[in-house]
Formats: sequence, structure tokens, C-alpha cells
Amino acid sequence: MAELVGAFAASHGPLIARDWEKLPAATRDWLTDSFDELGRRVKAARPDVLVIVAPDHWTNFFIENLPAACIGIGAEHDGPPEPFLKPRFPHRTLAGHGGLARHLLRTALASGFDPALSHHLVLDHGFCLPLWRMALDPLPAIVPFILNSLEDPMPTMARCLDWGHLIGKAVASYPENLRVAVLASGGLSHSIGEPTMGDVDEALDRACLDAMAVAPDDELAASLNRLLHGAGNGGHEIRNWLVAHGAAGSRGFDPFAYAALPEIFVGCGFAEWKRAPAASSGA
Amino acid sequence: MKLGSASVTHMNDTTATIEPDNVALVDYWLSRMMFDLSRNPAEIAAWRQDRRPILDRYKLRPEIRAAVLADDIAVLVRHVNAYLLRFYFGLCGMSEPELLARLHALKEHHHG
Repeated sequence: MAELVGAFAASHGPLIARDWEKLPAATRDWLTDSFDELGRRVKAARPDVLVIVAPDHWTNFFIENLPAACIGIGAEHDGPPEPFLKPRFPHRTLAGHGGLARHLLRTALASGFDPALSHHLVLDHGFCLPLWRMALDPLPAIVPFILNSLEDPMPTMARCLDWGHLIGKAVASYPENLRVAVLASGGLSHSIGEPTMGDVDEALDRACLDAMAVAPDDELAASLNRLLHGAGNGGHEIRNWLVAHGAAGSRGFDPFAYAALPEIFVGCGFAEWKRAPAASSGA
Repeated sequence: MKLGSASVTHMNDTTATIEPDNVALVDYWLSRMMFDLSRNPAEIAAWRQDRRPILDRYKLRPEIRAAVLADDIAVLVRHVNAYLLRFYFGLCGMSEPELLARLHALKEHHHG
């Protein structure tokens, strides 16, 4: 049977790639150390498959057709289209894992969830920037899980937690021996293209991290519903963290690095969740 | 609430208030125009030279068309997704510091 071997989170931001050489040395060092630590932890988990939960920055979808959630079930996906990331990230294509992705899709549909599906996605910086900085070699197979955190209305916090529990259940019931990890990409507070663009709210970010460390699911959903009103439009990507939180069984986590980095417009956080014992259902 | 045989617990999110959303404020044709431009780099030069022929393809309301021609960010920011807006002004050749300055000038309004 498959096993969930890790659940992680990392912020992303185009400026980490686009302006890397222009960033202050201390910022580059902190980002390098944090992504290296994340990479070390992911490599230690030895995942065969990485389920990456990220938004779609108008790469695959537009407001004519905007799913709340979409699972990439194809054997292969395209790498990032952004000119600022293409030269840095060496992979033009990334292997998917159709078997696990289809199982996740079927498990979802059997459990009252109605995700969209895609046989071939383009994975933008939300997916590929953490992969680039972690320098995983070789890359595990990727199951992309796109969650709408870009345009209102968005999935509720509770639904995101449910999605996480469902992923945990799907992994635990997949018959192939696979090591599966989840990576949530995005957040914490940030504001893009709004009058508050560039603002980062460290106190709010730390309150979110504190809530995820200790709060039961219902309290966590309530806390984040309240907190995210001030987190900027990019703060909605914390929903992705809730998916990872649920996938790991809502057992709290280790937010091993955080810094408010207005120079990249991001409240930048990294975390690893505590996992359920291997034999558990994950729910 | 449990559904089927799933061991997944589905929560009713009683704390998620259903607020009046901003979908009605999103201007589809403005969004479409910005999105198309972002997907068609070959048109950027033409766009920068004269926006009118490209704008003619879209059913823009007069006030939205005027706002596009005037780079009136105070109007545009209310009618298009903010990520798309940032990308659009980059395509127009606006520097990020200038975009930030223009957006920040709206802050008082935004909070008021």
C-alpha cells in the first residue's frame, strides 16, 4: 500500500527567481538556507510521488472556466512558462503519476467531492519555484492539485481541510507500494496588484502558524476565516497549507522557518507537518 | 457529517460567512483583453504603439475603455483580478516601482 511519508509547505514568489541577483545578500542567504532545509527534509522522506497543492496563476485557467479544484491525472505536465523561471528550472516537462492521481480523483468522486481533472497541465511558478530551489534530483513524479485561491469565491477553509483528509485517505488506500509526500505551495500574507501590494503582516502570519500548530480543525477554520481578511489576496494561498494540514491528519506541525520579506512581497514560511503513524487511515 | 464509507470527516464551516462577492464587479471583457494580451507577446509592440485597434475587439463599456486608455488604475483595480492587473501593467512597460507607487496612492481610498 502507499504511504504518506511527509507533508510540507513553502511560500513562493516570482521575485525569488526574477530578482534573485538583486535581492539583499541576507535575504538570499535566508531563502537558500530555508529552501535547502525543506529540500533536506523532503529528500529524507524519499517520496516517489509529490502531490503539490498550488494555485494556478492564470496559466491553465481563466474566469471563463475556473475550477475550485483540479487534479492533474496525466503522465506528463509542462514546466513553467514564466520567462523568469524557465532559464533557472531545467525541466521542460515533469512526470506525473496517473495511477495515484486517478485514484485520488476516484476517491474524491466517491466521497462527495467534484474536482475538475486535467490530462496535461502547465505547472507555473507556484509548482516549480519550490522544486527549483529544493534542487530535487531526480524529481519525484508530480501529482498537481490546483486549488483556486486566486479569484473569489474560493473553497472554504473547512473544505480545504476536508480535501487534505481525503488526500490522506486516498494515499492510504492506494494499492501500489508508493512513498507519497504532499507539498503546499504559497502564502503566507502577501498582496499582489492591490493597493496594499508589498505589504506583509508578520503578526498575522505568526497567528496563522500558531493556529495550525495547535488548533483543532473547526477552530483552525474559524481562525483562518477571521485572519485572512487582512492577509492580502496572496494570503488566500494559506488554503493550500490547510490541505497539507488535513492530509497529515491535523496533528500539528513544525514551522521551521519564517521571515517577513517585503523585498519579495511575501510573508515567507516553511513547515513540515507531524504525520500519522504509518498504519493509520490518515483521517 | 459523514458521507458514504469515507473515513473523511466533512466539516460544516459555520464560521465561513457568505459575503456579497466581487464577481459582479469583475469586468469580463476587460479581463479578457488583459488575459489575451498576456498570451500574445507578439501584440505587445502594437499595443504600446496604439491601443485602440486592439481595444476595438472587446465589448468594453465606455468608462472602462477610457480607463484603459488613461491607465486609470483607480478604476481598473476594481474590475479585474489583481494578479492580472499587475501582469498587464508589466506588459504595458510600467516599472514595478511605478506600479507600486500608483497602487499605494489608492491605499487611503482602499481603507476608507
